[in-house]
Amino acid sequence: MSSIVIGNNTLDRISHLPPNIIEQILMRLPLRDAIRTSILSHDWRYAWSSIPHLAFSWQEFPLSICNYSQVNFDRKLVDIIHQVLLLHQGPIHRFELSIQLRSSKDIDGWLLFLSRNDIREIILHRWEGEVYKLPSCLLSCKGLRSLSLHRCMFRPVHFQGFPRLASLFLRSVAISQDGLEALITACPLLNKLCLIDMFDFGGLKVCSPSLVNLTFVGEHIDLSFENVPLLATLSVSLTVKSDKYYAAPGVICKLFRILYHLPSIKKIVLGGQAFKVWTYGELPIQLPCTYQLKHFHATVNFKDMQEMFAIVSLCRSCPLLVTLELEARFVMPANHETPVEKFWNSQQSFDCLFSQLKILEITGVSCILELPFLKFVLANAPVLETAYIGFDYRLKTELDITREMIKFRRLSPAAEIKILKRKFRNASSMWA
Amino acid sequence: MGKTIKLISGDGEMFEVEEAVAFQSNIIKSLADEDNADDCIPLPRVDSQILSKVLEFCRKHANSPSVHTKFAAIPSELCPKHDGSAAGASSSESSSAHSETCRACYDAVMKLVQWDLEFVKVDLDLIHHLLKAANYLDIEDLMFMAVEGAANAIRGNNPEEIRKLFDLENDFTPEEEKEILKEYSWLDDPFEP
Repeated sequence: MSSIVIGNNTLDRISHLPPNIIEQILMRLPLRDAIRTSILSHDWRYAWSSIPHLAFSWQEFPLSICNYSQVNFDRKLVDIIHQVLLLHQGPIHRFELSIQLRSSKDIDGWLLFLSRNDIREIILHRWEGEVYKLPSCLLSCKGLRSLSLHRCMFRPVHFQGFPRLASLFLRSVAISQDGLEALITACPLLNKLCLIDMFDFGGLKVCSPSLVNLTFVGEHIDLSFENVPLLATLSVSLTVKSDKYYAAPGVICKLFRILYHLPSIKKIVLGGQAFKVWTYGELPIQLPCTYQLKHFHATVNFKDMQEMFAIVSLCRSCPLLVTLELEARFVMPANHETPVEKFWNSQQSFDCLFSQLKILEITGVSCILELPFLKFVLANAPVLETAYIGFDYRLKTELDITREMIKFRRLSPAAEIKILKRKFRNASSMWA
Repeated sequence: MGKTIKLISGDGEMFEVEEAVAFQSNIIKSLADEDNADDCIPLPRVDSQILSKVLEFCRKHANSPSVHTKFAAIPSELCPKHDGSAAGASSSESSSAHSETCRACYDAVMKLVQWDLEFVKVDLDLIHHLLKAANYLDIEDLMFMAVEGAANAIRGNNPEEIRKLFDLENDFTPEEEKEILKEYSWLDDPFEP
């Protein structure tokens, strides 16, 4: 039964595996389990100490272990981290510190240690205490591939950028607009950028020849793009504080202005009020260019004429659209035919509209306003495969609406309508 | 049936499998590329029992994307419903966009992951051999799952249990043991969940 590789037929099933396999096994374990293997046998005593990943996460080291005493917790965790770093041998490629450590005076020392040990990925999430000011030694981590910060302060001065940084995640990080713009541009390999709840600035101009994926979540700011030839996925979710929004007359709305600067865009996701805010203003009558957009998801208001016009304009400019997912913002049901219904019923179809559309999804359906849109798509999408419909939980007339929907004429013979169950599948979508 | 490859195990048994199955192994793939004479590849270091288990895994994964090492990014070409819809190269961006929106693909990936987890719920002898085989044959997904199987046996267990599972001998003297326990005094403190 044994393969010939095992020299002596010892029953020990694990120690004689090649060191790279043992390292992979140890890396798959939570840190404490990995360190605990040091007591197994002589072979294992220091096996854990050369794994290149170290993670101190709140799941493994929660505040509750010191009976919620922050002072004891801080003291204990600092000692543990000191000890682990001291016993560690070899490079540390990945370091995660996402625990409820209030004091931050020791983090400087740890970052300095990491900067000398070929660190490639840093995750620093601060849950407690004051915002942590990142030390200058962080800027000397030239091998950094991935950086993820939460509640830190970053003031890079005369910074040449991280030459190998591919992924940058910033959440509630205090950094100036100039500093962030410079950082983005200075990292020649930056591929993925994620900005969440940034608060220090009112605008951001993204300029990055290498960027492929951008996510922005937070309060509405003036986001613009210059030189992003490779950007393929854009996810923006905006919350808007005040209802007043000013759109300069004669100026094309933000959405189309941005599309103009994104030659490689394939997928756009607009959550919160992003679609509403970005379609304020003029919509292009003459479509200047068509885009390569394949997937479009947005939270829209089906009762708002401007937003509905924008959807039509967008679909007209994107003949390669494969997936269209719209989440309806809840509006009170109307008792009479509103302009929106007349609008969809009178929409003309034309060449290329929905010619590649395979998947349509409409969620949050709460009244009959979404139906004319569904009818329009079904009647004009020649290769549609599935229309997923998710009802708002407040809706009482699901059955009637479903009966209506099934009667709609379908241009695509293969088109199916599937009702989504209301189940939390993953964090970003509550539809299964 | 597509082009097949013949594999000879260490104890002389012959397995004939499709290229897509055998080429999960980077080693087999490179050997097949070089050796054009006959498609017969000897694998002296893997015996037939292990090889058949390995091929069972490879068969299941033959027409699926590399779910573990590439985090379920499904190139559109492999989606049974949406082949070739990604114009041009299937960059990881377009493929992850595809898997997010294509529920058929998502379900398929989840099913495969479940199957993999069941596959490694086996005794540690077999895990041990699978680890070695995956390493020798350089099969990424099998290595990933075999490591998971071994890690499962260690995770959450105390040293005594781990020693029993892996048949490890405790070769520490009592003094050495005491020294280690003191070194990591925090390991088993009220830390225990």
